[in-house]
Amino acid sequence: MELSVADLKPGDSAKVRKLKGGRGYVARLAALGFTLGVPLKVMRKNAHGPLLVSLRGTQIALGFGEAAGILVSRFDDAEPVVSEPTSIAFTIALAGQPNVGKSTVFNLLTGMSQHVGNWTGKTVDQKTGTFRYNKSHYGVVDLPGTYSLSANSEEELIAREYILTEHPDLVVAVVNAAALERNLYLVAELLILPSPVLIALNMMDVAEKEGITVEPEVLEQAIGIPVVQMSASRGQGIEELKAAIETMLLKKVEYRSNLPAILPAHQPVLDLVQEMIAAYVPEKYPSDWVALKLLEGDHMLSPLMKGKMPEEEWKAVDAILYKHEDAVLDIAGARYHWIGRMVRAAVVEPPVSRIGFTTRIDRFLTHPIVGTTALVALMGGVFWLTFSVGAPFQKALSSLLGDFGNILRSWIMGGPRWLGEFFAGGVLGGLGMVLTFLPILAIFYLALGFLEDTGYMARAAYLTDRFMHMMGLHGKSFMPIILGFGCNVPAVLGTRIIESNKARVQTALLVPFVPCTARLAVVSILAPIFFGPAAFWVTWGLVGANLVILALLGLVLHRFAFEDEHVAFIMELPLYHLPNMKTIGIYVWQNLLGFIRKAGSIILVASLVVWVFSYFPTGAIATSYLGVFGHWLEPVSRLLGLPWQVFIAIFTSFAAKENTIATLAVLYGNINAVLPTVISSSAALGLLAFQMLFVPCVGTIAAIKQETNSIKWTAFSLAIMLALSFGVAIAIYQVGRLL
Amino acid sequence: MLRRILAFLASSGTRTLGGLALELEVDRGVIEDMLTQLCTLGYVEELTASVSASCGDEGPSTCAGCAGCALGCGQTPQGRVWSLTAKGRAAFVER
Repeated sequence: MELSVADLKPGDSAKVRKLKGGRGYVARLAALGFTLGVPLKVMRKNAHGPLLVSLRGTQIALGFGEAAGILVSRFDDAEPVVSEPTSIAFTIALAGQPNVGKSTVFNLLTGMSQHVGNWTGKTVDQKTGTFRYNKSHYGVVDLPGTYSLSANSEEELIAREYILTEHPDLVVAVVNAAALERNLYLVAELLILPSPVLIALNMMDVAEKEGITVEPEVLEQAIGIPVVQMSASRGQGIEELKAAIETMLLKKVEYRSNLPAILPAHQPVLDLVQEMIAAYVPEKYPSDWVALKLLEGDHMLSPLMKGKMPEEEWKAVDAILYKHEDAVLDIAGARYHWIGRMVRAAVVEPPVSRIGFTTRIDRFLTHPIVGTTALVALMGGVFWLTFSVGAPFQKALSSLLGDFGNILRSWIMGGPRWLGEFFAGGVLGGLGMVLTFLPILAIFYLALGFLEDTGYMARAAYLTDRFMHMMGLHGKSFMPIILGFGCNVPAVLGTRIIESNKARVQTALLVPFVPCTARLAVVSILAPIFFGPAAFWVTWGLVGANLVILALLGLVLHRFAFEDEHVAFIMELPLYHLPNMKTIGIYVWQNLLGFIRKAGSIILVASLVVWVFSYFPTGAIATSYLGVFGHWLEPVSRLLGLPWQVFIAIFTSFAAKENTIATLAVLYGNINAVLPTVISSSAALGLLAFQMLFVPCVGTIAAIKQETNSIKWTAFSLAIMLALSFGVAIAIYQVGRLL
Repeated sequence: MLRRILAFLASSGTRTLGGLALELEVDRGVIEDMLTQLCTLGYVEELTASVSASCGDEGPSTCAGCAGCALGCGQTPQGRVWSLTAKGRAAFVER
């Protein structure tokens, strides 16, 4: 009785004996790894649903019908008789980049006759097998998947060493027809090795699905070696491949491959190096190939030849190689040029579909004018959404907080008055008020998270870079500046990537002008209090003004203080995709949690300190320690049109930007209601500008000191921000008064 | 071809991978391969702009600069960025 996988129980092991079904079906099973003799184990079997089978280290689900078609024998049964030929006539090496279906081709070729071991002295798997075709018997060696043969990895070394030392009769290069351009680099390298090459143009079905038409005959003509089209996963093309192998090996058809050319300027150098090393090249290596690889700066061959050659002669070779160190650019460049020619000849692509959705959208969203306009509009939209949705929630929470404060005061009525004020005014007024702004921040982060997760924010960074270039600020300053939008501290620390000391200092000085999320949060909270529906225009304008000041300052510093570091970039912009709500949720949650943590530590302590100084010794703010200090500062705060309480509040932001809100709440109570009555519109605008330009938090200042290693530059940073914040705020207020 | 990429990087302005692929009329993946090759050869470097990279050997959990940061880590701009190294600049100037 025939035993099939469907007859096995969970935990049973067996070996594949026979596959039943049509040719295509059997090929598909073979592609999954069900080749004759392969051991398998049934992991799960239910009355309904698929069987789970463990095979070759992976688990595969099979329907009962499919399982019944895989005949097996138990290990204690007699082994099926497999007639192994006694001698192998030809050895074939299978080469290819990863994910081109090379293993599938190997399985289809060798079927049951496989052996898995290790390459000598390596941990990389070595798969070998055999197959018969007509009267000949072929050995197949599956080389590790490699992108090139440049000795950059163990796999690359194994592959090329095998071809060079074992001299297989034929190398079958398996390439992905849907990504031919990327795959041909390996072919270009294989062609200069001694073994003949045949191309198995695999995944034709995938190419067809993507609208790419590859013409194998044209490719064959262009490269000058046989090309066999295949769709190995469907079992198509394997017989044709075997026939082509037979034709090439038995009929000894001569092919003259069209090799990538080396630049005429480098040919004499190559000839000279070859002549100098020829006597010392190990027998297994062709000297012309070694000379070429030495010019490419091969990591393995340089020390090898150094060890083989007399010191003086190697020095002479080394001097030539050093002088022509950049020849590799032309040698590798010529391969890419060759690939371009082959692809242009053999591939027909529908131009519209190849320019994907992302590229089409990016033509607009990264355009200097259209893209910048879109960026400005999107950022405006973020602020509008934040204020229109978040502000009503904040007002409701603020009102609840006020009611709760009154209840708290009445509860503690019997105790000392300061105790009631401490909890109601200090803790609730400061910390509580800051926390009522969570809805505004939640909407803000939600909008930013959405833009981030669609892949748009990278475009914003790209456009920002263009803007910075125009203003004279460019080079590696770009990365820290972009980081600064999150938090200035890591942004200043990030200036370490800039080699030039002057450029590093310059960037560290500019980073605090990038509005971090904490600065933006404070402005997002204060702007609707003063400007209502127009708050988003004001916030948007303030962010823009900060960036303009940053760019102008960068321009001035570039012109007068620092050397011009001229560096351009190539940026990979991620593909646009539908945002993942979970990812956005985590982003919002992490940011809110960070804010709450800050509220529970720095902001709480600062609120209580401010409360203590504003309550004692008299119990009234006007005559408190803070009041006395505030009155002393009043001549300055009057220049800005601000009450001393507001002025003090800004100064407490030195510890953390959000302290401004907490202090205002401690000193004024319900800031939504009170602030518009004590500050004029022009003074309010000045206040917001002051907040955006005021000295950074203490963490950023410490980072500037650390990275510039200079008290002078740290003091300069503080001085310039103080001067700008005062200057701009006073100007706004004074001009506003005149209007 | 590789020299053209170096030339782009030595000129002013920033290019996107997709834009460069269109300009050079090659597959976007091939440009990535070329950049990887140029990185291996030391002519180009891939810049890292992450908070943890800024923290250096200390790591973000113990980094003094991150101690007072409310944001936590992972605030990294998306996308990869490549620029010329000193060797890359020298090779281009030599031409």
